[in-house]
Amino acid sequence: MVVGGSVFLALVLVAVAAPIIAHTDLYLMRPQDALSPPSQQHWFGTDEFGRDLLTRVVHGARLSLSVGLVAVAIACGIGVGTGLVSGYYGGLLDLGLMRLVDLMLAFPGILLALAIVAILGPGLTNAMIAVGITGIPSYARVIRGAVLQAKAFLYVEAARAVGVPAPVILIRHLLPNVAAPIIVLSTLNMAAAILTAASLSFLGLGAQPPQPEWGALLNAGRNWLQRAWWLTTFPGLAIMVTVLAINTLGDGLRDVLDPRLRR
Amino acid sequence: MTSYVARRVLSTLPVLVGIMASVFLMLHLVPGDPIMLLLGEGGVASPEAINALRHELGLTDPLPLQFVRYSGDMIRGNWGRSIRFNRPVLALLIENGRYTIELAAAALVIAVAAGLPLGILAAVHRTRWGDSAAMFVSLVGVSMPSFWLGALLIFAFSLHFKWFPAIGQGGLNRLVLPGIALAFAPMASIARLVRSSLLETFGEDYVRTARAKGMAERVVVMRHALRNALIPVITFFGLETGRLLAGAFVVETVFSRIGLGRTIVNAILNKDFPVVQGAVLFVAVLYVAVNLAVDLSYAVLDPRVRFE
Repeated sequence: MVVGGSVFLALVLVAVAAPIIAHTDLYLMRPQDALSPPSQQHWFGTDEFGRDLLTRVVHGARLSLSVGLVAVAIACGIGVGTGLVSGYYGGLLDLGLMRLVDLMLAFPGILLALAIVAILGPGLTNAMIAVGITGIPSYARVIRGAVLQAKAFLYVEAARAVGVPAPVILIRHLLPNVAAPIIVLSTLNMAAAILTAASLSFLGLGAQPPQPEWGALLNAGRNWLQRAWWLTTFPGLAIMVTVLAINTLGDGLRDVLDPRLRR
Repeated sequence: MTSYVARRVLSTLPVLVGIMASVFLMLHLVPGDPIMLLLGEGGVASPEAINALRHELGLTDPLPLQFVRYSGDMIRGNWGRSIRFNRPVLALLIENGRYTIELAAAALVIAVAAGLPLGILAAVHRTRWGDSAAMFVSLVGVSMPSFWLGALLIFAFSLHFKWFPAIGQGGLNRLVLPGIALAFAPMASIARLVRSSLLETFGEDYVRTARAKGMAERVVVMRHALRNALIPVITFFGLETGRLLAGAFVVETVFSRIGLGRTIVNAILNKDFPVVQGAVLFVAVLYVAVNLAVDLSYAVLDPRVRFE
């Protein structure tokens, strides 16, 4: 599982780090070639403006992956911080923070992201932020649980007895021990983030034209479903393969890291 | 039992208040003046008129007071008026919400009808091959974007085979393709959940006893193991419904169906705030209601819960 996942992820990384593959200019329109099927010249075909689809999909990889990274960074940063503080200090702070987290969970899936985009306005950056915020509750809850468990260990009490200030305990002692769930959660979160961001772009609320984000590409391709099947097939395939790869990796990681946790 | 019911119902109240507070705050979190948002773009008015409107709408009052008034309005069914359509928001939402709920329900039915047997089969026929295949399929299910699946389904079954209509709503015919597109991911999750849950119950003592008694394997599985294995699955329903309702928005767009998806996306693009707030509130409250129903169903299904 892990092997399969890492192979895939490597593939994905390559696709990103080398839009050098894209020999054609991203925005070059060649109306005479518009809507041509996959050929030697255009491996993925062209869109209604004659733009090479392969180029756009490859550049879209960059967009989607950066969305995933930023969203996970936001969710992880705020979520882990919340979980750490909540679990360690307990009491009213814990109660209050967890109530906030529960409140966020009362808004299912994409609804929260939609609400945030409604507040901030459409756009890829705002979509990133929205998806990031949506991911916070999972981290907060999981990390809080892990901290509650880890808190009982003797080394924490020892550190406190010696007079180590609380933030240092949190970062230097507790954090490394909750690293395993963070890693697993982050991979799975990234996959979900890419999917959600693509959905937002598909609805027209994320990436705006002419950004070649995969969801946006799919949305544009929808209009030509009958005449140009390649416009919907390839971006969608890209999304699925990427998300599948990351999910596989995450699943494999979970299998590897979890049993070790239970010890 | 009644105390359990009462407790569960009461516990939803703080959640509802929290939801209303969040939705209320949405308007005030937007950068800029709320009154300009409510007036809509292109509204040119004199500063005096704007101030007068501000007073009239109560925007000069302290926030808590505004919130109390807002909640009162909501409870009484006054959810504001759409800026774009100049119609009551609640009526608009119910009109469109019908179709969304219809789609979500159809997807739930399909997901269960397909996922349950798949999960049972996977648990009963355990092979190394079957295990890996089951895991893989469920991963694919979760990874596949619903809008892509929808487009593929349209291409194959509408355009090519011409079996089902591609767009619109009304009638069972038009629910099939969107329903499948929406149901695919939950179906994979349900299958996986049923499988792992069943496998766990297989290890329990009462299953061992039943088998030792010489009961036919099928009876053991269907009558004894399944009932207990289903409890976590039902929890999952509750959670999935929320995701189904929200996921329906995207699928509706693919199939050009009327529904909350179209409503909320257009409202966001048009900055029609009352509608956005209303829609978010609508779905969130529905989600709370479904989860409450799931909680209450535990009392019926799992006798242990009743005597908590």
